[in-house]
Amino acid sequence: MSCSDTARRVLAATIVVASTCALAADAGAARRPRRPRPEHTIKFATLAPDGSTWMKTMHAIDDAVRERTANRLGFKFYPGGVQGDEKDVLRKIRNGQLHAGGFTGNGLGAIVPEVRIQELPFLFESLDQLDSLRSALDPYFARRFEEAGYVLLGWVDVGFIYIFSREPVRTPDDMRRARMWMWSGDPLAEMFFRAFAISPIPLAAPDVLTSLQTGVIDAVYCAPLACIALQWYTRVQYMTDVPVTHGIGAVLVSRRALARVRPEDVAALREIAAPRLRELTLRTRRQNREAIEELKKEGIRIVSVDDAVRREFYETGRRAWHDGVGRLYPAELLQRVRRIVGVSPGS
Amino acid sequence: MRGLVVILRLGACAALLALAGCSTSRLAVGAMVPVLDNARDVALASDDVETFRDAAAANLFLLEGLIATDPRRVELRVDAAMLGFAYAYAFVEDDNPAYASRLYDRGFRHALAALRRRNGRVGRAWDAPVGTFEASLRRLRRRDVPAAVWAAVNRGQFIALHLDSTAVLRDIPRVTALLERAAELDGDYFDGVVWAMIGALHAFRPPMMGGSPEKSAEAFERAFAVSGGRFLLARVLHARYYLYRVQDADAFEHELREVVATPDRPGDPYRLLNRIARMKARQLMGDIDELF
Repeated sequence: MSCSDTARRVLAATIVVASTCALAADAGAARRPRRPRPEHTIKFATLAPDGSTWMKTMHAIDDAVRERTANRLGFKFYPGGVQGDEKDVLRKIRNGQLHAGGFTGNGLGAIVPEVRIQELPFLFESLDQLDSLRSALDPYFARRFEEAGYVLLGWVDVGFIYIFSREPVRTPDDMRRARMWMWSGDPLAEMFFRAFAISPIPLAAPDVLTSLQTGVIDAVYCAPLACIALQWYTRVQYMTDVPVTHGIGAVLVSRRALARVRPEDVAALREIAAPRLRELTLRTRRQNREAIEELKKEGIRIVSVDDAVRREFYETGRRAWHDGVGRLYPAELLQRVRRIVGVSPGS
Repeated sequence: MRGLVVILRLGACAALLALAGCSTSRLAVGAMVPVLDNARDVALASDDVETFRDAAAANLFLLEGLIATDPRRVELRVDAAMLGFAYAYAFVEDDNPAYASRLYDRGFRHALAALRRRNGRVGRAWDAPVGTFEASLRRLRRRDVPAAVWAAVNRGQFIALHLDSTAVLRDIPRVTALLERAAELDGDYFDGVVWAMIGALHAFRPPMMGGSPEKSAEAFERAFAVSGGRFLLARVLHARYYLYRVQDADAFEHELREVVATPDRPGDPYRLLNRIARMKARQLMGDIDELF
């Protein structure tokens, strides 16, 4: 390095260090000032860690609700799974220890099994179809959650779910040859694998990373963002470019917890949460697109599938739909879903 | 305030030296390294948290000037990474996370540059796919541990402030692997700070994301064993991450009360950090209602 370079570097360093640099980095929130406890506290738990997009959204909802209700209503948060997994959170909501949670399809299905119809394999080919279905069925599902004792504050996407594997999965046969993970106890995943005549290896989600490391399994399914957050990408090499399903999530509050809250405050909570959770969905979609690019930087290769094989995936996977009738959802709901997304029984 | 002026003058001198001539200025930087080593040790053993707070930013300034004059000085980069981390963690992060994240990022870059200088294969592999980086760590040596540890803790804290960034999340396994390898090589470094950070990392992440309360407890036990429980920052991290993860409010409060009540130890080389730990413990005790 030349002397003039060095001098320039010193001056540059001086400028960089001296400037207060309004580089509005979207860093985590400042330490929250201690606030008086609200009259009614909603205890909310989720697997998402503090500082994540999920939790930033929830804090924004909390701030707005406290302000609008003059601190009559507010949240207390248990992020990062400190209250256990979704099953634990549901149990704690039932016994009154907690009041609300952010859930994925698995947890939501434990309350209202038919919501899983939105996660049927190969149901959507575009996000527009998903949005149409959601707006058409939202009042129906909101009512079903009300009947089960919950207020639905809003849906959140997990994202399109892809197969990630150690060996390329180009065809359904490749999938059959893989040591494929299945989330144990998930009825929808069971339907999916039955349709493809695959014998998966059922495991709890926290055991997946270790099982990929030890070779017990060598293929998993998840959204690209989840693949990074859960670190599964460190043990796979390929992502098959066919979304096998779309994962849903939602925020629910127990009706019992809101029973003593003024109706206008509950209305304010709904009104404040809905647009913010919609924004969270849009951000998650963006993050999933970014995640695919980040996965490529990690050396994950995208396996393209030609049209004929893509059709084979869709036709085989859609056979699973009928399997859920009577177990997860009524036949009429399936017909309605088919109509909305434009898939006739023969296709 | 006078200290600040002196330090700013020293920074200006460093800049002038750089302008005056490369070899002369590099010689001057070389001569300053033992002085700075002493200054660091005196600061760490000091009981004067306020002066540290007021002087830290200016000292970072000085170190930046010296590093720019002689970028090959690994010790200066490691010192800058350590100082930036301590200042950001103790005084900046709670009120100004955007500034703290810049300090962590700069600290990380200095430590990584030091690692590249000391051990090119490991340092360069940071940007490679994670498997390649993990494999490169077999080449990490005991003398690389300070650069590795300060790279990992700065990056780890940066990640904690940017959990909504997809690109940043990718580095969690790199930080974990770097800390684990550093612990393998020299777990006693800096009173076991590396074990405390491993403990925090295992507790911070839910089991689904690779975290493990059991591994966290084990790592903290090892950290306590290194210092005989006298490195109070490890105990604060234990309360904040492990006891929060297992939602044990009583143990959380008990641990923090003990930290606050622990008196200064004569001759403690990390007295300053232990005072900062007490300050953090007092803050956390006020958060019990929010956390449990």
